[in-house]
Amino acid sequence: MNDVMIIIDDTHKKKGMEKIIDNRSFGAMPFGGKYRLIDFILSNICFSGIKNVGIFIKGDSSSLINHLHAGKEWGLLRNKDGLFILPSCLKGVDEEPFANIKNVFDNIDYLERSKEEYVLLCSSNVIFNMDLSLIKEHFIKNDCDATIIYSEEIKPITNKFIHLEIDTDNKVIDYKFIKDIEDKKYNRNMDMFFLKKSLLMDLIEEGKENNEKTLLIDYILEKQNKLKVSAFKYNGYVAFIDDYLSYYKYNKDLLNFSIYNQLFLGRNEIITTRSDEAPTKYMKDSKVKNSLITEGCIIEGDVENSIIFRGVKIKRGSKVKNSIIMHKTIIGEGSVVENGILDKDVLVRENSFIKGEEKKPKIIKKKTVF
Amino acid sequence: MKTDIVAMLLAGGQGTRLGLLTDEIAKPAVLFGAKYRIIDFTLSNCSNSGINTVGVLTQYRPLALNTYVGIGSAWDFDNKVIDSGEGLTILPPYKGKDGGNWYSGTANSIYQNIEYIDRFNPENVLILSGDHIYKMDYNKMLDYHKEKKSDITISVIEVPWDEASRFGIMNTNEENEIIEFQEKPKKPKNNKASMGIYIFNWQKLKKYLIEDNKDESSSNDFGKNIIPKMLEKEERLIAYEFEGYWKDVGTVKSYWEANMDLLQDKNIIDLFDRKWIFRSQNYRVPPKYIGENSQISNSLISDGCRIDGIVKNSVIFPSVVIEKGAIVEDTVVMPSVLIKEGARVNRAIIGEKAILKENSIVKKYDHCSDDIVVIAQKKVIEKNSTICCEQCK
Repeated sequence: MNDVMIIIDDTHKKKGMEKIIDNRSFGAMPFGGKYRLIDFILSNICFSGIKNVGIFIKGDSSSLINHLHAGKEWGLLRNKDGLFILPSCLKGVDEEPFANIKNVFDNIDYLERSKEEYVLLCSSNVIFNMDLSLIKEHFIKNDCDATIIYSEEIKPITNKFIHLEIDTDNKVIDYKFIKDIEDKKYNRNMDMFFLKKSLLMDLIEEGKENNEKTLLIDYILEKQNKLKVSAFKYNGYVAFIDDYLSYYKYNKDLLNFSIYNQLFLGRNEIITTRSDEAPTKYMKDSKVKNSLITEGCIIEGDVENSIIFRGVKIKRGSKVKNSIIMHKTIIGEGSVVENGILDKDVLVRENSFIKGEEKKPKIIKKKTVF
Repeated sequence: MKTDIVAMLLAGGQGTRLGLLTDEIAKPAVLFGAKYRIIDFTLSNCSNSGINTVGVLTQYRPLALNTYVGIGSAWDFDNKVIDSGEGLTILPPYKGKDGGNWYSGTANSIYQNIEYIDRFNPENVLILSGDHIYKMDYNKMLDYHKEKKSDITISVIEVPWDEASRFGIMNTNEENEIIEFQEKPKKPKNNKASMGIYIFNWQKLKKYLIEDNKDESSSNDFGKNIIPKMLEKEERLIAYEFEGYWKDVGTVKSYWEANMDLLQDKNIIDLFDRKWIFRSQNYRVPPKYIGENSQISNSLISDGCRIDGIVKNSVIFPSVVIEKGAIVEDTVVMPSVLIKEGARVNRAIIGEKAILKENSIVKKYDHCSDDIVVIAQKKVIEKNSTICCEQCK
């Protein structure tokens, strides 16, 4: 796949995530005990042989940039190609979803300099573990001009998404923004597009002057009669993180071993930055059930149905249930945390009580002393 | 620290008393402590002490060790531009114009690498072993070495009197000058044991190495030859008293004990001290999946495991699966082992990728002479069978 370059959009709107995203971008959002969302797409890329990776960033991206370490862990710290950070001029909180063409236009130099023939565009908040070469195979086999990748979902958990209208020849004929979700099957756009770099540059050229039409998908579908735009259905597990409820749900879903297996033990290893933590120590009285626990922790209390990130200390007599506890947080002796999302470096003093509701978890921000 | 000091890490030995554990790999490459290899401790101590020039001497079955250590990136030894040291170099025995020789002893391995050390022209050389478990800031020892204007500083540790006869014992005066050296004495006069960690004035050491090489009857060993000779010639030998945990994991029993030591609260290396991090080549595995039926107590468990059984007082490496109903106690379980439903294991070391099928039992037979059962890598233990070590059938 060294004739394919990839551009990851990390400028996704933060509406709905404000409570937990803090000053991070989507890609920098901690997930699954030891990862950040961007790790998933980067790991898929690492094992696909793609060596030219651009990431659109906006605003508060220091968390992401510090995490990336110039792409070292994913083999992207190299002399030829590698990882490129592409700032964007997009301001404010965009209402529309993804693949905003202005982003691409602002970074046209990067596209011009890149020598790859094909471009894969995707978004940092869509999580999966897939063989990316299948997309290129589909594109070539079906003689496409553009391929849009989607996943079938029944009653998705989200506030808004793009549903693709696909005909019997597997061509994408239209799309719809879905706001009111019904109990039926949707072709949910995974915010992934595969096309020739030359076509992308032509489309951008057209969109240069147009301030009203900003989505790539509009430009592609507008030319339906001239371009062959086909749909590629991805049948594996996909997590769409777009607000704090879906964030909570998809983390908790990892406690289902079938999903854990598909995402973490699937085709690609999921790689993240090294942290050299000690192996987790379970003390004498610890009781852990149905949880994901990662390295560097000292567990002395009770943990149930929870996701525990690196370096967390759960002291004696405390109880953590249905919760997500992020890096280095300390749960003091005798405390109870139920249905909570605790960000990094939180200190829960002894005998404290944090209780959220199952559908509405209680969120505690970074570095809070409770 | 610049080229104040060059560290030479002896990692060439087999460690024959570790039996199955070193059948196919060198002792420093042996896995330890749920995610490390023995050599990680010395390498991390060097890195954390700011020593940037490290030679790693390999000989016995070096493939796993060489691949694992690489150019030392995991310990930041590959930053040759930023730091003024030369980084980490693997030094195997080699052939020159006049033929070549395997390393015949600890001192001989340094003798054969005089050229490597001379490149840096250091004031001092730090000789380390790759098979000890401990935390040490070598700067403190170097400061003491300079303060005492010593030619050779030997790090010593107080050992229990009943074990003193297993070690090289240093007898010192009040100034900590070494006046006598007893190698494994039957009647030790002292309980200060040599840890095998030495700082030598390089020019002095070089002289002794060259002379020792000419002596055909010599075993070319630091403890047996070089140090006694230096003492005889009245060079200035100083003992540096080390306080803290130190374990030479030379036997299966001491290896198992050192692993179990990590489970205690006291008298251990603090693996959780973020000011002195022990780095290793990380495993790329997801967080542990702990099931509904698991009961874990007093154990160290790495990521990537799936635990649904009972785990007590044990050290578990990555990607181990322990199914419902299985019981693991007082055991070191190496990576990717599969322990199936109802299997039981007690006081053992289970080698990588071994499979313990349903209801199998691993435990010591009463008549077995070994204290700890060692199960070889990839061994499959059949359903409902009971097994002790390789020798007991």
